[in-house]
Amino acid sequence: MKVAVINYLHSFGAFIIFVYKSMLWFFIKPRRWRLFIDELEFVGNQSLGIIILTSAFTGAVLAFQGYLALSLVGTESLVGTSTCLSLVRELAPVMTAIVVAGRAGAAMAAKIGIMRVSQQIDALEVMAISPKQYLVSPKIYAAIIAVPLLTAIFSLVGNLGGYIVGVLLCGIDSGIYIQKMREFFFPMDLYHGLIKAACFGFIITSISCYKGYVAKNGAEGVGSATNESVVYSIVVVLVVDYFLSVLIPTGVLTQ
Amino acid sequence: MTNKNETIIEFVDVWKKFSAFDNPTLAGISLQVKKGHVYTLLGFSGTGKSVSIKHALGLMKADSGKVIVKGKDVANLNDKELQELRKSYGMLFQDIALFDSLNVFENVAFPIREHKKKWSEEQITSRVKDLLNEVELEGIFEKMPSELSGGMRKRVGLARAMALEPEILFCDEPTTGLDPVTAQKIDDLIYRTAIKRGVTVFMISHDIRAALKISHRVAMLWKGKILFEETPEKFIISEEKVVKEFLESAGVL
Repeated sequence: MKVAVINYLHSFGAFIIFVYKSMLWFFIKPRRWRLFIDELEFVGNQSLGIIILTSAFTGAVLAFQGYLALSLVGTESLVGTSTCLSLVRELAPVMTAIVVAGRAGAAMAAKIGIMRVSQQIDALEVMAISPKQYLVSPKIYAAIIAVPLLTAIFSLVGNLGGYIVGVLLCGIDSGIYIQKMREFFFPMDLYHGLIKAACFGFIITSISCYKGYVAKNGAEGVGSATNESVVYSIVVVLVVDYFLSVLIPTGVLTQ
Repeated sequence: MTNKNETIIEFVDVWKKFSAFDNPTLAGISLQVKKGHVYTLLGFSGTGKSVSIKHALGLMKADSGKVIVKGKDVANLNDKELQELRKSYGMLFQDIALFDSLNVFENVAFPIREHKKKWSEEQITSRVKDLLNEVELEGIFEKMPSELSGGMRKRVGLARAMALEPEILFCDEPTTGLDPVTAQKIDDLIYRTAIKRGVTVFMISHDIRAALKISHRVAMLWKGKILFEETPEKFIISEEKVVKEFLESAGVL
């Protein structure tokens, strides 16, 4: 038991140092903008299709369930509000984080893990190139930028999906849908979601890169590193999400 | 540059233990490698050969004792100083560790692109061509590492290790897993690209024939200690039991 606790604390400390050093390396010359742009493309652009698909259906189902629930008490005019606020504040950042963890995070852990077990990371190091600088820091910063952008797109497309279901399928008046949505939505709600998204991007990439970086025992180790990176990322995102939701103000409170 | 007898790599009583319950992997290794020499560590598997090379590379830290390379204590350098030192290193890994995502040309060009920022594309191309010519690989620039045979990969690895004209070349079992003819070829190439140019070579191997042929000093690692260290001529007539056993198993005696 004691050994387990000490081991846990040890690896947690190693994780913190790993992330701290990786973040610092970004500002040390030589700067590698090319890699940063590549990662931005990988995390952001390549996730775009799946984000658009999931967001449209998430918005649609939210509007549909909202309509079923709200029409019980005759307040279906608020479907636009409920869809918009839950998307922008909560579901967009969380769902985006889950998609990015499954897509980009797993790929990062696997790639770095394979480089670790086949000595490619050692090779980088011996060539006087910091693997943290070369592999990890561009990924972390790219995700901090890319995940909020994806979240913004998720919110937009999700609301479109919600609008289509609410107005075209459930027959809510278009003017009322939009008007109620605008009445209760404030810019702070958007910032709330985007700040969370940036934190999630950081959490996902740092966990995934770390898991890959410390992988060992060949193919099996890379497999479990990939697996753990996705599981840990999603669990930590969901836990942190609650605390961030409490800490970061929302639109209604600040108005 | 400097006189031949200068010590370039020195291990001073290096201990390393991986877990509290095991025997130490390195149990007080001390050795000295002279500049321009070829130093070979021989030993059975699991005697700490790879671990000792990792100490010299700065990939591991000793529990006690010092590893001094070019007058600097490797374990006490900060990241920047360590990088500076490593710019004079070339390393041929046991699993070669070519970058899977880059083709042969880019693999060899990689350290040059990273460290010679001022070089033009033509300079890089001609340098890489020279390096690959030297290891007798032509016309495979576009191939990916996974498309190459083991011997070819080793040669690309050697070309990459020599890309920045290192002062010290580390070789981790350069000929393991190759057929005798290819192994011979790799030894010849190491001789031609590095040893002939006066590059210090620190090699770990269990290929005793090659070691005896090209080394200045041969050392036998046994249970984490240097059991015996001599010139190849004296090594082969050693009366030490473990050394004899080793030589016999390799069919040299």
